[in-house]
Amino acid sequence: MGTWLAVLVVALVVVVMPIWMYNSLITNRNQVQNAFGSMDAMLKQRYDLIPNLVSAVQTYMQHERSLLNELTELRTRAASGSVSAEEHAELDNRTTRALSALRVAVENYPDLKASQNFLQLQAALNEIEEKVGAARRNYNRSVTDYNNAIETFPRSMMAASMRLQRKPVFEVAEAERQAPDVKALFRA
Amino acid sequence: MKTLEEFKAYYDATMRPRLEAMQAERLRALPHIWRHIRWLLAAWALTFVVALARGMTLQQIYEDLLPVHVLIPFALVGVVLWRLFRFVIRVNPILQRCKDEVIVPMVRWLAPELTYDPKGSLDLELAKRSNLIPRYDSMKGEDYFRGRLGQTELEFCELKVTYETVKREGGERKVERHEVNGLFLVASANKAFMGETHIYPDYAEAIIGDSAARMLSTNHLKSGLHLIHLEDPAFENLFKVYCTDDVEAHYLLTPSLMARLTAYREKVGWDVHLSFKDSRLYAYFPPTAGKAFMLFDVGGFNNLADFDVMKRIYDELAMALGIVEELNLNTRIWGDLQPAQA
Repeated sequence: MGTWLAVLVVALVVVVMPIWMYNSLITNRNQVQNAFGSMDAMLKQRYDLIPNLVSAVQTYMQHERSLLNELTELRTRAASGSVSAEEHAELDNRTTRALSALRVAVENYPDLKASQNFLQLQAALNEIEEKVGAARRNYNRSVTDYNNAIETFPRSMMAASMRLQRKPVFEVAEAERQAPDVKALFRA
Repeated sequence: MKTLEEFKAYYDATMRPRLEAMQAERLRALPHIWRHIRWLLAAWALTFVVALARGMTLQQIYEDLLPVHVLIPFALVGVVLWRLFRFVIRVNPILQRCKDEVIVPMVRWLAPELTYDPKGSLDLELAKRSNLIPRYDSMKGEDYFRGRLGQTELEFCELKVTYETVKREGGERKVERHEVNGLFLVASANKAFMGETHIYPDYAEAIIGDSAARMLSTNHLKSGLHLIHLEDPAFENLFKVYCTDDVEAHYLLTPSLMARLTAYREKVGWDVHLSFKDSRLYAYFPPTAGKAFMLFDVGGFNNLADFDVMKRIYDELAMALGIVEELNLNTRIWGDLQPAQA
């Protein structure tokens, strides 16, 4: 009986555990890729909304040409397919800032704010922004689980042999971390 | 809904005189069981005294007076049951009048924006589809509310769920019947979504901690649903979340909503089960920690003139209606701007 028990324990340690560790690390890695894909899809939806948004507001917002042109240019570059991952992140951050600036600028155009078309677009934009935020949170959670898996014992040993590297979580750009200067917004 | 101060003023002006009259009636119907118990116990004691006075030993008292020792306890039980039965017969009409003439007008005054049907129920198929009722053989609803608060359509009712469990004790099959009274609510959701997200109380995590609870997570239990963990530690300590789509679950359960849910749970003191499904928010409040709903009813042993008895009804109604404000369901700034149907 004792011999069989010892055989069972050895089998668990030598065979079952490495299989479990390998599979769980692959699962974590795939989860991160899946979450990144979801985030990417949400960002694309946001870019796709920009042409409709610019078209809806440009008649009213005659004084915001540079902002609208910037949004159009960002969208074109993001859709070009020839940007690296780092450039993609930079485009994403700049788009977020441009859309925030647009929201503030809209306050100066009461006719635009009353437009049903614009209200629908604004609701759609709110929804996609919230979904982008959700996708980022989901991505960060997946990355955290992955990093925990590859850095905690005993899976860290398997992770080292598989050459799995720690991944960075999504972080907000430094400019966005600053608290908004509400007084400056009102002066503008 | 009216504030507590407004309710107290209404209670004092309108309800108190009628409730005091009903309470007087109820007291007259009380069985005064103790009087009968005292007499029977006195008679029993007297037999002992007389027997001892006649020189009988305890052994003789036990053997010779055995019929007395058997008869008196049976008589005690019989008298108690009979008096309780008579009390129930006499007090039920008083309680029904209390409901019809005091409680129903009170509830309609508290929430004039809702329609109230004391005998009505929402569609029980909604309760079954919500996946919030863990087990049931049959369901029955009553005290049905329906209406709109701001932009949110909602309906809710008291839900009585019955189910049977089978136990095996020493080779014998024993069937136990359970009846659970809770509150079930359906509201139109303020965001559009395609999948399902379910939020349940997390008893395991609160007792044994996060790591152990993760190990115990039974992902297979809900078909198509899997367990996810969110960033808010206070929320995670109270709830566990199952979903079909991780991103959608994060979209619905924003940090703000998680904080609101945590605060709401701590404020109401009842377990709350939620699900986002079919463009609706479903909520189920089962009995919690020895408490039970007697939604919009009073029991025969309650003091009808006690303000706290009616305040309990106020609190239960406030809990149901409060879910709209506490979870910010009237903020509808995403996607389709039209308020959905509940």
